[in-house]
Amino acid sequence: MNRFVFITWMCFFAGAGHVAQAQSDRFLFGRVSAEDFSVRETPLDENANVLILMNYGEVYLNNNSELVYVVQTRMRILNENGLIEANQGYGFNPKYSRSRRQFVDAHTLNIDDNGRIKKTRVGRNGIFIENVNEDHTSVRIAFPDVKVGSIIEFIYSINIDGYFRFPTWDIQRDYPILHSEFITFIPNNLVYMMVSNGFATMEKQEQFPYRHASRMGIYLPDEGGTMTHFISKNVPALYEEPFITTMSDYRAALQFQLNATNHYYSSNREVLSNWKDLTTELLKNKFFGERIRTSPEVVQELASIGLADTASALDKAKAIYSHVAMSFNRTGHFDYFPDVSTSDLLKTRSGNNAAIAFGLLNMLQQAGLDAHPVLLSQRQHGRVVWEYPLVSQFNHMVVQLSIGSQTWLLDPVSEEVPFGLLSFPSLNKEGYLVKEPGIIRIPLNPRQKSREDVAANIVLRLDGSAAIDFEIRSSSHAGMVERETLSSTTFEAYSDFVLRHIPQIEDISRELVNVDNPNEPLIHKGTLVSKNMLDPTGELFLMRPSILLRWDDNPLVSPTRTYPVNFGVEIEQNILIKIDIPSEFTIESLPDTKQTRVGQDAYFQSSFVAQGNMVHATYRYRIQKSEMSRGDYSALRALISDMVDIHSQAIVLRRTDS
Amino acid sequence: MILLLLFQLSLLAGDADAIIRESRHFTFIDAARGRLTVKEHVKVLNKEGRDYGHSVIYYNKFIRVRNIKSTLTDASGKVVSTLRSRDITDQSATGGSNLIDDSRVKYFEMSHDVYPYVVETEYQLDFSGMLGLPSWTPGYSRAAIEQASYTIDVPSTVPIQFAHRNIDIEPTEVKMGNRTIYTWEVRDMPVLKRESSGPPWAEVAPYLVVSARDFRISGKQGSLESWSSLGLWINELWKGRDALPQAEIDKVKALIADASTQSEKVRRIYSYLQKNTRYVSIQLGIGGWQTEEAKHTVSTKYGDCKALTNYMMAMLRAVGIEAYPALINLGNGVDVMADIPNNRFNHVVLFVPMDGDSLFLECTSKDYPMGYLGLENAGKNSLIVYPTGGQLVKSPTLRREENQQYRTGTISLDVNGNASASFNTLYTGYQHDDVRSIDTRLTPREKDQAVRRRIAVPRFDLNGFVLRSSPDSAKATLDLELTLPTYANKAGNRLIFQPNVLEQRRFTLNSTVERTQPVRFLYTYLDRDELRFKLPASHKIESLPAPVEVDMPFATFRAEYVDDGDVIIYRRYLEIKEDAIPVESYEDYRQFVNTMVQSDQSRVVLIMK
Repeated sequence: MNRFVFITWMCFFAGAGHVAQAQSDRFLFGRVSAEDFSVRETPLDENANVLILMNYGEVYLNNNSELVYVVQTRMRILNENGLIEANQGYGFNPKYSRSRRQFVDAHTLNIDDNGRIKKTRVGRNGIFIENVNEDHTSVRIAFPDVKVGSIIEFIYSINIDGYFRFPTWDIQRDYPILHSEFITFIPNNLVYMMVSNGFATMEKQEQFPYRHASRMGIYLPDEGGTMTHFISKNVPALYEEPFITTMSDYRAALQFQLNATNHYYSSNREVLSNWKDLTTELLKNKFFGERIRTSPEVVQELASIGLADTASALDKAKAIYSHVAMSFNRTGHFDYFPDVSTSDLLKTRSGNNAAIAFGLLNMLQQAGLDAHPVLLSQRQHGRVVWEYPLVSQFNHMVVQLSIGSQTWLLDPVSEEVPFGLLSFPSLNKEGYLVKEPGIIRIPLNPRQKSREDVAANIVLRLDGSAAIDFEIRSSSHAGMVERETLSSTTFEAYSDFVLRHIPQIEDISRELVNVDNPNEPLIHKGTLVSKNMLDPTGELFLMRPSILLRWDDNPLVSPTRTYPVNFGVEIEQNILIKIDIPSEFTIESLPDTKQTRVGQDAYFQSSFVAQGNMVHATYRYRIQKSEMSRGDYSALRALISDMVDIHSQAIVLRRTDS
Repeated sequence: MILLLLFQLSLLAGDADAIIRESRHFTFIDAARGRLTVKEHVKVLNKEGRDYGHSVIYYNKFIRVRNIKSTLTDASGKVVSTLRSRDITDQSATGGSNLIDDSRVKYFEMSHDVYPYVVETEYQLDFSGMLGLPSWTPGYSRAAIEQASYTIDVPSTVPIQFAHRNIDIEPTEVKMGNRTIYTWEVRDMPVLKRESSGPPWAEVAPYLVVSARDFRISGKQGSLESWSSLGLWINELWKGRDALPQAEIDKVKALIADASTQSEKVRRIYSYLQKNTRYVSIQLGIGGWQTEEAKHTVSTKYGDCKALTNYMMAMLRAVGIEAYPALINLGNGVDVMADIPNNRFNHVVLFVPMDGDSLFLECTSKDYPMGYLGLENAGKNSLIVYPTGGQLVKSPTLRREENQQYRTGTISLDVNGNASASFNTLYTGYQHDDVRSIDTRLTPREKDQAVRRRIAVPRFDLNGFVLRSSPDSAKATLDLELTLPTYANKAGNRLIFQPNVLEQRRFTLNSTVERTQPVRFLYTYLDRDELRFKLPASHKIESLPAPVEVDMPFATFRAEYVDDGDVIIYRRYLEIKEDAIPVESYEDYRQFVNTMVQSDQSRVVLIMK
């Protein structure tokens, strides 16, 4: 089981007819005490501009078979920077939910000159409802009369059609929370499964039978059910860090899924199935499984590639993949279902990611190859909770190809992605192989390391200039990154940036090899003259050998870390520089050799060897785990600092003929 | 035949990813109403040109979008796809810092995977309120224009004015009955390249602005006959909205009761405004131009630029100090064309006439000192709205002597090359903006990270820092205490280090690409550094870099190293004298930068005694 996740089954049975009394009265809307105003800071966090005194949520089912989601938030403005939070808001999808203006209420609370609590209600002209687009309506609240020390409070409700879209309760937010409370009123005929995400400690999790009412005083259907009460206290703010999949993977939250319905007029019905049944369902689905098939358009498209009958299965697969990766207009929308059939894709030449993956799948199968869909959740979409057999957790599809005992994952999201490699956003732990019978979860490990090999020969001249030839080979993910960069700029601008540490370049001749063939390393090579490779200082001359190292700054700025460092891929860089020094110079000193390690998982080393007047500078950098623990953070940060510091190293030369 | 139908990619294509033909036809109905008909014919030549086949149509409460049609045809002329209504996304365009506004956008993407292809699009925009006629910007950064025209069809009795920027173009004028048709046309316009450190787009892109004399919006009639008449219209919209509740007037009077000068009175009231209000942008309907009433702002304690400016103006007027709104175009590199009266303002500040230097107040800032406008308001055409009419003036801008960075530091090296260092830096003028923002707007955690990002040293421990920003002037200071492990690199019995610790420019300018545009700086400035390096007793100076001095018409750079026994003093001076360096001087500029970079990377060599 995932270490961040625990599972609670909430099977609700007929209760004994209690009225729920969930909360203390001091949390009722508008019931603010002088004590609330005395809270000036939280020991949780000296950085907070705002402290959430209380965040309360409640979900119940009304007589219209709607889930009613009520949220009440009370927060204190701690300093001037916190005033920006005096504009609050929320949103909903108008296709299946509503929030009426009369169910929004908000006010600002201050202590007046007489020490009394003064309430300023947000009027209608302080609440703005905007139809952002057909999937999103936004409600924004501008609180009046807010100053440092004010308490602002708002309450709203959203009615959500049906039982399926049970709201997720975020225990953790961007500001610290003193008291987070969530109550669910679930009638006996519904069974939900809950997953808890993140690190927050649950101070209270209790269940009681209920008959009639919620804390908000709204009468519930008479069928009765179970109230579940969650309380967390002193929840720290969630702060974003670099090199992470997505912060939502770490946010403390309660997620719910409908598991079964149990109506008196019908038999029990399982809503949430298991992965095996889900696979069967998906493969029968009109918009998924039934789209895995050939058609005249597929046959025609395949014929247009001109596969040789004698080609091996792997060569055929590569040719089909290249064709698909290079073709089609991508709508940019990511989904696990194709937005058009393969026939329509091949006619209109346009589709979403899944439609193009289905096109690839159908062409591979038409060519007699063993290929199956794999669903995955991209990094920014968050981790998959495998305890939920839910297809909605995924937002992307790739294709698994098997030839003999070997398998490849094919991800035709762009022409920069080579055969057998996943794009960077797809590198998110495990995917779901939609194939029966078979293994459901498959690892999404990159097939190769991200690798860069750099070689350069520098021939120094007496006047301080140097003739340089260089070759930079970027393979697998490194190649993908370089090709993506190139696609948004000119080759000259790209090359200038890569060569930015070489001083005063002239007479440059350079080229790119394999730029349109992502299956081969991208090679950037050329010759140039640097007008000024030597830095005279007194009688000495300094030469900086790190001219092709590209780390300029350490991106790990913070000295501390809360979450693991996720690079997505393993990384390997090898840089070999050969420096030919004229005989009129003697080598006074070379930089000391350095090596920095993070256990067995990462290292950086630089070494310098002189053979006569030839110096060999070697730099090697390895990250051997795609995700490194927070315990390794300090050492990793020091290692990258060492890499950046390489630019300060110098070979010291002395002129002997003057 | 097919060959004939294939595109004839003329020399015009050059670096272009698409070739565009377009026509815009505006029919003036009356001062409030008009119709713009847009027809575009885009040849998409390659993948990079695909965006030009997509359409983005902005509208708002006063503009209705009608009759959108679009068709994509392949190189043989076969229709590949036709736009369906479900292909059009309609969504809010509320953006930036606005809480809410009327802006919306319709967009759609017409694309194919075989190049070239053609996207033909047309639509109409019906205007029901106008503050000027639609402007025209015929120029693209990755597309060439084969032919483009803009036509304005107005009753002959309606006089129009027009002005252009970055293009020399005059209209043809044809009388048809009682109407006059003006047509501007461009042909064979190549791609407008963007170059690194080049001018902002607004200084490069062709731009035509057209005004009709009369306009009307939300029933409010106005005239663009002159800047004065535009000012009168704004004044009318704002008139009577500066009344304050008596309690607020009393409060303001008490605030300045013992202030002896007008400047001190303004300072106290400005400080009161900053402390008690916050900026919230709400731009709905005529509210995009008309201010909220001051008494409303008193109660809500928030408002947009108009509301906060009006509130500040009301407070000043309540104590007998004259003040007037000043419309401006906020943003780096964009300004309102002064040639003809037009309303391209997007912001308002407050103008306070004074006996000595008059003041402009940025009323949306909670931390600017009085009279400081920030870079984005500096040197702009600004329309001061007097009750008697508008007057266009330039907002103030700071001179290079006022935009300084002055740093002193002491660095003590040990035998292993480790260093302990303290730095004190004073920032003034536009150079102080970032530091003030860090000081006043960030949490302790964010401040720590922002300060760390300013330290361009690979390995350091930040032992402490102090940030201060002056409440009275555009100044801020940053004091740093650092440990710099192995700052000096060991090479045998030598220690090698770079005396330029914090002000490093690492990259030279190469001459690999021909320069066609001037180099632009946001402002002129002056940097000075004076650092003292205390050497370890174990080492002595083996060599110091030679001093450097380069004096050009646009900039001066100096670096010197003084051997003062067991101390080395490093002094660095950089003065950017001009904010634009013409193309003809680019080679001089490149040499200047390269000399400076080389100097910045120069190293001192110490050797064991």
